Amino acid sequence: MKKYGRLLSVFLITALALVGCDLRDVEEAEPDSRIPEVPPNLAEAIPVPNHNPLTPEGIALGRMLFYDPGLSANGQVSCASCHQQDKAFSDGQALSKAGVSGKPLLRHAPTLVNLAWMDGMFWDGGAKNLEAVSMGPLTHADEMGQNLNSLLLYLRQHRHYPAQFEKAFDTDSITSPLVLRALAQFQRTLISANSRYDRYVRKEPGGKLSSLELQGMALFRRHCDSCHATDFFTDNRYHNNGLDSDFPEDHEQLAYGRGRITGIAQDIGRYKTPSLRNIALTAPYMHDGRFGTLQEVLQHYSSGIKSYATLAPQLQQNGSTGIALSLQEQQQLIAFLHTLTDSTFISNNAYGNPWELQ
Amino acid sequence: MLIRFRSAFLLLIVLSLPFAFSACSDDKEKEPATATVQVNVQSLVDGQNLQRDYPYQSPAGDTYTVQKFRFYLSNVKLISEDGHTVYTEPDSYHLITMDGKSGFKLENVPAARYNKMEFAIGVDEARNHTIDQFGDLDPSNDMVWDWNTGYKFLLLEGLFTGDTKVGGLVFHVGEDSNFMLFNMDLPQALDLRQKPDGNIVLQTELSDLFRTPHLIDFDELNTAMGGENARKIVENYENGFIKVASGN
Repeated sequence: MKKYGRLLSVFLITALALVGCDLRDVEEAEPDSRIPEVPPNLAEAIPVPNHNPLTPEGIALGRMLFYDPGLSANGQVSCASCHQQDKAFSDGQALSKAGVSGKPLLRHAPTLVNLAWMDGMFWDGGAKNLEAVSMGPLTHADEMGQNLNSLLLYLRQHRHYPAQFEKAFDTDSITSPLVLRALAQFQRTLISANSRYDRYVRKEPGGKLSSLELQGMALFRRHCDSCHATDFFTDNRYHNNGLDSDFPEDHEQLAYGRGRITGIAQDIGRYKTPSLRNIALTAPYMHDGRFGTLQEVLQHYSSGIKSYATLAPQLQQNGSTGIALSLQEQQQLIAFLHTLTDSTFISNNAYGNPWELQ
Repeated sequence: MLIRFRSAFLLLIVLSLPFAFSACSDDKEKEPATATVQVNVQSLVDGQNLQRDYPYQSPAGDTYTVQKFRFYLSNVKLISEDGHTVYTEPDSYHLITMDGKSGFKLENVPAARYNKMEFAIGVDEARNHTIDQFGDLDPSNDMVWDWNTGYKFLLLEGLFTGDTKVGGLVFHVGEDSNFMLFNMDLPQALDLRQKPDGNIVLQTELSDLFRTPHLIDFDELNTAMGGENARKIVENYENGFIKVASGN
């Protein structure tokens, strides 16, 4: 192996010399080791906690962990099982059964996009930051079902990980907080703002919207962007959007949504506003995936709103509930929502499975 | 004039010599004397050492056993009699467990006569909103909530046989509002001016978690994951659950 390695490197160096670039350039050009740039209509820079700065090595390690089913109790479930790049890191299922127990989950797997700017993760914001969020799926009995100490044993005995942790965190001791930090770093790089809509607002080539889409955008700005605000298409807050009028206490008050986390009645039935980026790729919709299509979603807002004490005031104006939308208006809105699909996000090699390359 | 000036200069040098020397020797002697204090925590039930799976009687008359008991003791301070010296332990987070860590050392404690101790049960807000931390706060210690970021401050798990029910006891106390500070007098002053080592023994009395002001009947209350049930346990802390048993 060593002999071939040396031969290979001699060959590589010769080849590189021939094409006139040095090894350094090639290393820097590795797709998995870049700190991404932030499109200007989104933000100026990626917010990063002081104790976990983004580094190319940390991002690369986080990506390996994200795609490694070896992290789960049965060796078959990775983060990517429910967060698939071609679906903008969602899974196409209402309630996934891809976990180690095979039991359906109680909430829908959300898309992972522009997470660096979110201050609460999960549908109820229970995870306070990206360094905390992975603990849930890693250890939940119906998701990856892993015991952290078994996970550490796996990583410490692995042929690649010790060297990768050394590179990323300058230590030969693999610990849980470092696993969480690396996963956070990779997830922080999942930035999407290169859809046709983005090119339109940035006045870039290819940024043309049809008249149908522009009509949809006008409707969106009139009716939707008080919650799906800014170019993140979320206000990062919690609202009751009229899905239910009954919130049972079972499963530790899971149906309470935000109310389960804060313990206050005003938050019962409130859920986090999801970003609408890549919405055409992330069906089904809502925290339990109850709506299969965007048509169903708009029908809900138009005529399906259920009353409850915590119902969002935006959905009860002028003495009636919901947002009255004609079928034509619904079509215009759906046309606009399709302009939020970012094909570069789902094809970006830097977000792909690094194990398939080895 | 010249002579007088020169002798004055000499005098100055001669006078300053002792200061130069004393400055040197003072540097060595003045290095503040410090001590090490060993803090041990004893977990008791009705005055006896807590034993795993041993049947106990609760204050409300239920039988119960303990499989896991652990809590965070944090923010440890020693306060001198005159109030001038306050020792604050850096990075002060200790996970005390019934079958693991039951003590820790306070290092570099300034030599003084201490008669008060301050500590907390729980993890303060500054450290309770992240979990990617090391040492006793490492999430591998099984004291992290994955659905609502933060630490379980106190965990008690076991089984009970009540008057009408049999089942599991699961008390997980956490949340910022349940972080509780204690300020206690040492039974006798800890005088570290003459000796380099000291000892403090803390005791927890498990049955006092269930007694006053909320008498906990396991038939009615056997689970707490934060919320109002956990609050009852916290309000019971202050009536004997933890105390300083000795210091010398």
